[in-house]
Amino acid sequence: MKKTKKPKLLEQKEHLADLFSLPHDIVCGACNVSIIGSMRVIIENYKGILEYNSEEIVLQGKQSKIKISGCCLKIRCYNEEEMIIDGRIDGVLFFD
Amino acid sequence: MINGGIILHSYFRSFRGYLRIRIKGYGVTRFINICSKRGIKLWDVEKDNEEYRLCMTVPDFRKIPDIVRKTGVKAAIVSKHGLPFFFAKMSYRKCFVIGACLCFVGLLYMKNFIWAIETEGNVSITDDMILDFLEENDVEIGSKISNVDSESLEKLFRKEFPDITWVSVGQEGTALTIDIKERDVALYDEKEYLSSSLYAPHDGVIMSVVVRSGLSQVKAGDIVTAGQLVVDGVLPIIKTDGTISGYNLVNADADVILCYTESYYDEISLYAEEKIYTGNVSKEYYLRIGNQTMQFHWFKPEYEKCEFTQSFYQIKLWENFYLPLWIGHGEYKEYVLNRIKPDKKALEAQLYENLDLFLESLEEKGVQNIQKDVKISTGGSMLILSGDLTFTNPNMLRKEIDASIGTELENGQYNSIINGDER
Repeated sequence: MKKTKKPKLLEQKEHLADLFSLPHDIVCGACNVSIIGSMRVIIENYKGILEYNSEEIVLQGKQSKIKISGCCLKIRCYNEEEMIIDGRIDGVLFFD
Repeated sequence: MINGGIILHSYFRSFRGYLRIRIKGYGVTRFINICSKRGIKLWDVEKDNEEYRLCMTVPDFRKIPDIVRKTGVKAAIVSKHGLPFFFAKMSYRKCFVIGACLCFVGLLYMKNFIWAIETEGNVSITDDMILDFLEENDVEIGSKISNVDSESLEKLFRKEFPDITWVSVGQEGTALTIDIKERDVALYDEKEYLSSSLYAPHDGVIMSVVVRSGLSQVKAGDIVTAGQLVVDGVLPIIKTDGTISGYNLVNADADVILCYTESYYDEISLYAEEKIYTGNVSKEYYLRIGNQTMQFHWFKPEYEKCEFTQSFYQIKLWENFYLPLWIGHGEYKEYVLNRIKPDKKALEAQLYENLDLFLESLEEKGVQNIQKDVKISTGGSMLILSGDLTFTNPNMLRKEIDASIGTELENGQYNSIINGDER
């Protein structure tokens, strides 16, 4: 029951955001991921770190998990609002 | 956050001081997450083998014992950074801190004085002339910058050196800069004379005269003596009845070619002394503070004959912050003199080369050599090149006509003899 309700709620929120031209990350609680070249990723609106090593960082977002893979990854800045990850970024993956 | 923001934050953190700590244990990610939730800012998080290293501020570090206990990790300080820790460290090195402060105060004090004088654009006015002039006006190395009045100094410069068309006295750091633009000599000659006449510079024969302005006093083939009037700048105004009603003063302008002969003499020794360096070199070093020079040398050289060279370098901070501090070095190179007799042909070639150089220098002034009658002879231990050189010179001496002559002429006191005008 829960599994079917969540996407529906999400759909409604997205619809609402589209209707009133509101930012999706605020209305839906989506992660805001900015990638600068292949050397920096800036993530906002996340919950916390699940896993961290120099090849892989897994973060818990509000809707899904985010996996940043690469080489020599280093958390340049980490606070409640945003996280800056430096290193050679190979990929960003969203998964449940 | 953009790069600039990160850099600004890093400066701010350095100003407040921060710690680099090491976290070890199973709940490290939990520790990081709890820190984030409690508003503890972390940065430069790195994984080094089994341990994590991260940075946090000192007040935040005081908040983490509780989190450490809760997550079961071990935390230890790796290093301390920033100003508060730097000052704490420096408190053990009081002399160093006092020295650094005194140095800073000294620099602040010294920036009020002139420690270097730089000149630019001067060609005929030498640096020494400028420095002497500045010294006469109480501006020298060590003078207070606030006592230098640039505007009045510029005025004095223009007064003292009439050849200066533009001068700028400025200050860059502790250097006094003097930019000069000099007047073009040729233009200067043309502009300065209101009315002038041309005179023969040497004894000789006039080859040709083409007058554009003024009255010619000679004709081709005339023999003239040095200082004789060639083209007169005083023009009589002749009435229809042939009488002179007045005089006009003009700048005489003419192409006059004067042929003259000059004797030439040059000599060179048949024997020469050649310096042979023995390879013995002795160096000494100097430290000059203001006018006081300290000399450092390991031993005083006892060479019979030696060549001595010396150079100084003024210490400066950045580009223009000169300090009253010079370092220098001197070098004594020992040599012995060897008397040799060079090849006579080489000496002759040297004499002819000197003659060519002399003729070239005259040619630059427009004086052409038309005949060379020189020969080589030997006199004692000297090789002599002597003889007569014949030149054509188009440059006449220009002399200004005295303005009072105009009034004298009006009164009939001046009697100008006008010979044939080959206009």
